[in-house]
Amino acid sequence: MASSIENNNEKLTLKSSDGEEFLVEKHVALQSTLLQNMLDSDCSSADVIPLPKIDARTLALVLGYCKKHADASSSKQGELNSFDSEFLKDMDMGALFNLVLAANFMEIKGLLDIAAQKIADTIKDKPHQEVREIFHVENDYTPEEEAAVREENRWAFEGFP
Amino acid sequence: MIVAAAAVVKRFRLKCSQSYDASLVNGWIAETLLRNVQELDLDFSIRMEYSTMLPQDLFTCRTLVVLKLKMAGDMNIVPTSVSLPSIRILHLGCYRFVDDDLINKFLFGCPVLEELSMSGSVGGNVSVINIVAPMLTSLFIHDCSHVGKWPRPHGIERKIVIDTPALLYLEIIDDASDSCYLVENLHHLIRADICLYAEDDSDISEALTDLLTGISNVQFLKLDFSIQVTCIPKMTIMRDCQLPKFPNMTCLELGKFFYVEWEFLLELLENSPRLETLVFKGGLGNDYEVFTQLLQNPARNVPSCLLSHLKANTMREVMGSNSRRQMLCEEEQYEDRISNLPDSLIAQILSCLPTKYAVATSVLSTRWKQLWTSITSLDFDDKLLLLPHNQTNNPTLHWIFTSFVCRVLSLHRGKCVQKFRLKCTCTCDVSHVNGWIADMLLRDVRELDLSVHVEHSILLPQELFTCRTLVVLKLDDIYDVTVMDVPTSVSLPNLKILHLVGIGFVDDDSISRFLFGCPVLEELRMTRCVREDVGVINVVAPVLTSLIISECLAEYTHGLECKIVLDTPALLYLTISDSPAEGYLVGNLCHLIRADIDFLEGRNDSTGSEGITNLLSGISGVQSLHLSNYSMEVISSGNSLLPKFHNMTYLELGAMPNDGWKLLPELLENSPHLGTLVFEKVIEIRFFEGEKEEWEMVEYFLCNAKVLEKVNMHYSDERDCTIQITQ
Repeated sequence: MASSIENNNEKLTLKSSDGEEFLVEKHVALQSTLLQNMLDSDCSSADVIPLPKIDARTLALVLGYCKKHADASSSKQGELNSFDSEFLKDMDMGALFNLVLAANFMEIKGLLDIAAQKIADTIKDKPHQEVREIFHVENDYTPEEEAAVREENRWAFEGFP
Repeated sequence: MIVAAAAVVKRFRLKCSQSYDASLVNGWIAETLLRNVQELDLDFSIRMEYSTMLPQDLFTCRTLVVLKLKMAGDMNIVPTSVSLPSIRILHLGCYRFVDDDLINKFLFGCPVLEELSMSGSVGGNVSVINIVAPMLTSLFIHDCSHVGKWPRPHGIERKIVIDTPALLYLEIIDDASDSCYLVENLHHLIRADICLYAEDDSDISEALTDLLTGISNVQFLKLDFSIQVTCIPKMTIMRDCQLPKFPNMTCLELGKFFYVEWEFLLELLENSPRLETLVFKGGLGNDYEVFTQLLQNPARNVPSCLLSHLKANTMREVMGSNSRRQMLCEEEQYEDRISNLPDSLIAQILSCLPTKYAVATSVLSTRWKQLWTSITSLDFDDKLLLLPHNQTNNPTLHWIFTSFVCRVLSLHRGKCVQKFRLKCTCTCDVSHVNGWIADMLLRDVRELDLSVHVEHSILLPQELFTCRTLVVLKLDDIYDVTVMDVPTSVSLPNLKILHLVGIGFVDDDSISRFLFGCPVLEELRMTRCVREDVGVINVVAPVLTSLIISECLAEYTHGLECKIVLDTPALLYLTISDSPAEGYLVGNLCHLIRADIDFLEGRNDSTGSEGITNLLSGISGVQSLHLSNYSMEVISSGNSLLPKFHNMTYLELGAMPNDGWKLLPELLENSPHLGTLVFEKVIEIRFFEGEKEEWEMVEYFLCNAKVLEKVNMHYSDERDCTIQITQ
């Protein structure tokens, strides 16, 4: 791997949790701080870098994002912005959550930001019961406790839909 | 202590988060010892730098049953001897133990000890840690052989001997590199929590083999291999582990960071014939397919526990025949993972919401009750507060909003705030707003975005002008102009984006002083920023790339008297939407990519041609120029001199109802590299009228523009179409 740092066209192989391998150009992989640190510290002596928490479908999306951002020059910010909003457009919640976890694990700040924002936008105007369903949250308050929380934070529920 | 007169003190708990005088603390402890204390709980969360902190009597107290000692730094007590005949519970917590022999002394001096918890690295000179205790039922060892804390030459093994025949509960979280475990006599062990890690990914197979062999009688085993979230544990560190039989084990829990090595897991299952419950704490990910394949491999026998005993609720078996059993997670995979979405990620998602919505999530469940208090971005907008009823005129709105913000700020736990946005359509109380800003400055805020209107002038806290963390500052008086008093010294070393809307300055020097204090400023927007008494807007910014000036001259000054001076050599984008003032003084902007010039109508007397000539020559290096209708008119009527636009490849012109178009031939003549010319809207009306000059003009540039590729004419009204003339 040491030689790879000098060579920009070097490719590396990432392996998803379900065993699929992805051949990635190094400058694309460097969008991930995790991979960057691994390459810098030269600790990935193996030919294949396993990503044990990320499945192939999610990894493919992540790498698509990284490639776009690695290849675009800085002057094309507008183009990147429209790519970003298009990228997440029709994604379901499950995929979005996987993406957030992957971006967090691989430390890709831009992707983490837009995915978190997308989730936030989705839950913003939803009634609490729907938000619980989205996050698979089980309401473990007793009715009395829930009423107490509402009363404590009454100022936050004023006029809440 | 003097007032408390009881002769016997049962429990004494002391938690110090500051450094106190040693003699004082010792005095208190000695006092409680005299009163036959049974339980002592001493927590010094700050490092105490003196060594003789605890009285020697403490180690020979006959009444003491519980002793808990916690120190933030080194445990530097060195008792000469220990005799605590009644003690049953002993907790020792610290970063490092200084006395190599401390544990042995305690164990020897505590004959009836039942619970021992030790957390902290044992000295570098110790090669054997002996835990011999006949009555001990609970043992917790955290980090006692941690390599990093005491320097220890590599390759020298540390041996941890556990000889505790009565033990029921064992917990070990430890750095297992260069360590070995000698565990004996654990016939009654009920539960063991083992989390081993290796600081440098060295092989811990041997240590693990020893330890698992010693605890093989356990009934409930919890196993994990890394406590660090970010590192990918390498399963190679336990490749050669020899697994013992676990004849009594009924429950196996694999921890959050147990990244399953399937071969290892299968062997574990094969060796656990009575296993009933198998829990994957961190979920299986999608790896269960690999597991299934392994199970289907005919060369491999299915672990017998799966066929006979396993009835766990986290995994289940489907399909019939013995040789082809499939394992599936009971829940959908992503569902399982979402419930494990770490708090930090949820806080990040909540940070993207207006704070009102983030706070409202506290009602979702008990876990969510406090999650919002860790958000990193605070966003208050009084319009949202009382949705859906739009009650801007409600007189109590101001009060409700203010108390909402105050309450959120007091409950919020984050030490750092990335962004603070405050948008308030009602008039705010200055002291409140300033208090909030001061609070944010204490929390190292990076982005401040304030849209408020305060009565009278806003006296911003002085710390705002010397904040080292601030990157973005946006101040917007939504109704009027607020005068900002700029202190004599401004130092905002990281400020990159500054928007000032409706913020007036008291004099010329204030603007210069402010900008001088922002050495890395990249984006500046000034709208309605000038009061009558300001004569010069002097923008000196060496790395500024984007500048917007609007309505600064138009509304508040007589254009003739006021000057805009730009000394911004790195500028890429310039927008001027202001009065065609006499006093534009623009240094050479040789990197300019795009300029938008939109002169505002109003003061016809102030169309100074000299200033405009100066402005145009300053931007003559631009690549893309956008001129509004009125700008064209002003330029053509004011006898301004047009410079050559050598780099200009794109020109966009606004509608030209009056005389603006007369400028066009000259403008085109001076733009030798123009590739694209775009008109907006109005030309088609003239086409229908068919004025002679119009056609002449079109003819002119069609005949003369040699490299012109495209002319777009947009029709905006009912017939929304475009004529493209391609040469």
